[in-house]
This record gives sequence, structure tokens and C-alpha cells, in this order.
Amino acid sequence: MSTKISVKHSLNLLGNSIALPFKSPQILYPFGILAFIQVFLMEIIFFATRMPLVKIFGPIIERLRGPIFLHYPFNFDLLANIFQAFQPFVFIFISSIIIGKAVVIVVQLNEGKGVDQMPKLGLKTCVNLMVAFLMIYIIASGFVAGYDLLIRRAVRIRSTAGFYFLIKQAVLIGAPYFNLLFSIIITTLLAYLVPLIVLAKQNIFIALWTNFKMIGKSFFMLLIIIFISSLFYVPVLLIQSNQQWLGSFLSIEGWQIFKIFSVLLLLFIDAIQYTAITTCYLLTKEE
Amino acid sequence: MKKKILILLAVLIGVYVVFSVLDSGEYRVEKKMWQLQQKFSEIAQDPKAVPPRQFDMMIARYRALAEKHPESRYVPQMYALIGALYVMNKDYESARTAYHAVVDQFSQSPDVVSKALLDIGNAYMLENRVEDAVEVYLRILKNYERTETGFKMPMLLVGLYRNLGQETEVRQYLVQAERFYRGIAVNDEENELLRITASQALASVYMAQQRWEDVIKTLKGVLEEYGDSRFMNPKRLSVITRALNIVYIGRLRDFDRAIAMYESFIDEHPGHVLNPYLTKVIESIELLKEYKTEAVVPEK
Repeated sequence: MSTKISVKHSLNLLGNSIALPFKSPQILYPFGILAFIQVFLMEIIFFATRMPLVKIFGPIIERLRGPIFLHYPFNFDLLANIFQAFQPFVFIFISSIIIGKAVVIVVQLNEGKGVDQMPKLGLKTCVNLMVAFLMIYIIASGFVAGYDLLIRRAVRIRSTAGFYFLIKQAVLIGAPYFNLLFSIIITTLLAYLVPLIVLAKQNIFIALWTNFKMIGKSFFMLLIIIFISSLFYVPVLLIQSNQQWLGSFLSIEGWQIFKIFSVLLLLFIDAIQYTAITTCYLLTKEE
Repeated sequence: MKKKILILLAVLIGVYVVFSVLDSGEYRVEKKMWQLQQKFSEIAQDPKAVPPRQFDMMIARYRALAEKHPESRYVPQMYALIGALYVMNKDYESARTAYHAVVDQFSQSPDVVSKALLDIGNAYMLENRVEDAVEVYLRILKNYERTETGFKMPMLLVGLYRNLGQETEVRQYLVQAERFYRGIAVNDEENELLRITASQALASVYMAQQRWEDVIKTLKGVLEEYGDSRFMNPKRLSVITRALNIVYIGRLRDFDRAIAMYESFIDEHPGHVLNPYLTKVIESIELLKEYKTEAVVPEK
């Protein structure tokens, strides 16, 4: 498959991947479970500061964060912080398994098989998936930490006009977009890791090696698919970076609903990306 | 699988509904208070530009909230804000009526009543009715001297008369304040926090009387006696050392005595949690001393 053809195909593949959840909603089931876990987590943290759960969680929150976070509206700050703190665990231990199952469902749907229940993954596969996601998390954290260093340096730029000022503004304002770009690059470079572990039953190290061997054949195709599908998240980033201004129009609860929406959107994007990645993997493997 | 997803959705909705129903706390009141507080802040920014109808509307909202949740611990705050709205609208009589509502409704809670009385007194002061204000302040001092508000009352009266330029009353209340604070500070039966606070207040009385040596003696005594107390937190320590430095350096111009006092504390309490802070204080004084000496040399 030449790169030219791949690029041409990528838009078709992306279109099919977007349409698949609507044609075969079974692909969304694993992500539905993930959405349930995330929203349930939010609910528990939200009610942790209210009666009757505050009797259990109140003293812990008071000791760790201070008594003010038990009261409105600071409970929403607490919700955001604790939810964020849980995300690495959710990503490594839950998302890994759920995405693995989603990949199996995509294959079953491609083969024209019906999907009556969630596919089962062996313990070995689950462990390999968790290690793979831990690795992805470490790499992503490395990028974020590196960017933080850049931000610290940019903050020290004193210029209020000119080229250096532009650099400073680009680094500071562009932070969420650069992070999205890092995430696109990482997802593309390690795209076949999950299909290789789940479908080819390879262990993480072999899967990693095979991934890099295979990725060269369809890198641009994947990059375009993942880049375009990630653009759906840009409006969320735009809204988030204008939080202060929008805060005067939106109530605190409204903002929380927006956060839930952004989590669900992220899961939908994941569903599209892994549908496309799995299809791409099957095409590349056939070659 | 569709069924399972629907069950999970039902669980999410169920959890939300059940916990919302079970919530017997103050969350809803806090939420409403916050919303009203936002509007209150807008009014407070420029009360003159606010039409009287808006004041009435806000007051009605606070009243409705207080009536809807009469058991809420935020009710005194609601009435205090109603009073503040009246004060902003220069309707002092109505403000006092609102504060009186707190006094009547929470007569069993000395802290709440004393704060409401202070608001009443302050409303009189805004009308320049000094005698009425003093009458209320004295009532707080007489009936609620052990509350946070009552505790500050002697020095508040001193300040009030000082602003009015009535030195006889200033002296009279300083003597009364000294007696009051000393009575608590030396009474072993009082709780530790109250004794520390009384000692600090006593030092401020001496400060107002320019009795510098007594200020030093009192605050040094606090450090020595309560240095290990759990109430000797960084904030309190900072207030005490700042007061000592004002006296030693600002008034007596005696850097060496200040350094010697802190050093003696460190020597007598090796490994004490306050020592690193006091060491930094010593370093700052030494730096200041060096700077002052250098500044003085050319004059010689």
C-alpha cells in the first residue's frame, strides 16, 4: 500500500469509522461502560461532600484539602481535582481493558458476526494491556512535564511585544492544543499496540516491536485519521480556555454538565479512533 | 448488552435521585446563599447606583430563604446581610430591626447574639449616634464578654474614644481593658486558648499605654509559657514576634535585646518547632541592625 493511496483511503476510513457507531451501536457498548464508570465516579465525588456520604468522606476531605471544600461552590473544585487524580488509574486499569474489548468487537463486526455480549479477554492479555497503557501514560506525562518546563521558561520572557512576546503567548495559550498534538502523535506511533496484544496475542515487548515495524506502512493514514477525529475535541478546549469569560454566563452546575459532556465526547472520539485503528491494522496485516 | 447499558443508565439516575433525596444537609441553602451573595457583591460595589427596588428585592429574597430554612445555621448570616443591605441603603433603623431579629431568634447562642449586637452598635455609629452605640457595646461587654466579639470590645471602645479625641474615656477603658484581660490571662482555670488570646490583648493594651517594658514582659511570657502549646501556630507566632519587634526596634531601638531574647528562647527550648522561625527573625534583625549601623556611620 503506497502512502498516496493510504492518504486517499484515510478519509473514507474515517467516514466509515464515524458511521459505524450509528450503524452498529454495539461498538459503543464498551465505551458506554467506561462512560458509566466515569460519571459514577463524578457522582460519588459530588455527593461525598453532602449528607449522608459526608459523614464518611468529610473528615478525609477536611484533613487533605481543608474544610472549605465541603461547601458550595468549592465542592466543585474538589470534584474536578479528585476526578482528575483518578484518571491515571482509570486509564491504566479500566480504559485499557475496555478498549481491548472494543477492538475485539470491531473485528467481530467486520467479520459480520453478531455481538451479543462483551468479549472476554484472558488475564495475560489484560496484564499486557495495562502495561501498554502504563507505558503510554508515562510517555504522555513526559511530554506534559517537558511542556511545563517550556511554560516556566516562557513565563520568564519579559517582552510585551515582538517576536519573543509571540513565542511566549504561543507557549502559554497554546498549552492545551500542544498537549492534544502530543496525544495525537503518541496515539499514532503506538496505534497497533492494542490490536497486536488483543488480536495477535503478543506480549507487550513483541507487540511494541511489531507495532513499529507495521506503523511505517500506514503512518500518514493513521495520523490523518487520528488528527481529524481529535479535532472534534478542539471546541471543548476552546471553551475550557475561555472558562473565566464563559463563567459569567454559565452556572457552576452548567459548567459541570459541560465537563460530563467533554468526557463523553472524548470517549466517542476514542471509539472512532480505535474503530479506524483496528480496521487499519486488519488492512495492514492482510498486506 | 443494550439492556445492560440501560440498567447502568438507570443506576446513574437512581444514585443521583437517591442521594439528592437523602441529603439532609445545608447544601441547598449554601447554593442559594452563594447565588444571592453574587448579587449582593454587585450591589456592594456601588450601592449608590442601585435603585431602591433592587435593595427591596434582595432583602425579600434573603427573608424568603430564612423563612424557608429557619433551622439553617446560615440564618444569622442571612439577617446580617439583610441588615448590611439596609445599611448600604442608609436605612439604619430597618438594619437594626434585622439585627434585632437575630438577637431575638438566637438568644441561646452568645456568639451569634454578640455579633448581631455589634452590627447594631455599628449602625448607630454610622448615624453618628455615639451614645447609643456605646450603650450597645457596653451591653456586649457586660453580657457577652467571653465571646469573640465581647473579647474585642474593651479595645474597640478605646479606639472609638481615641477617634473622638476623648482622652479621659480612653484612659478609663484602657484601665478596664487591662483589668479584664489580665483577669483572664492569669486565671489558671480558664482554657489555654483564651489565656493566650487574653495575654496578647493585654500586650496591645500596654502598647496603647506606651508601656513598652510591660509589652515585652507579657509577650515574652506568652512565648515561654505557651511555646509548646498547640495554639502557638505560625500565624500567632508571627503576630507576637512582630509586636515584640515593633517595641524592641521601632520604639526602644534596641536590636541586641531583641536578638538576645529570641536566642535565649532557642537555647532554652532546643529542637523546638518554633526555633527555625525565630532563627530567621534573628537573621532579619541582624540584617536590619547592620543596615541601620551603616546608615548611621556617615552621619557621625
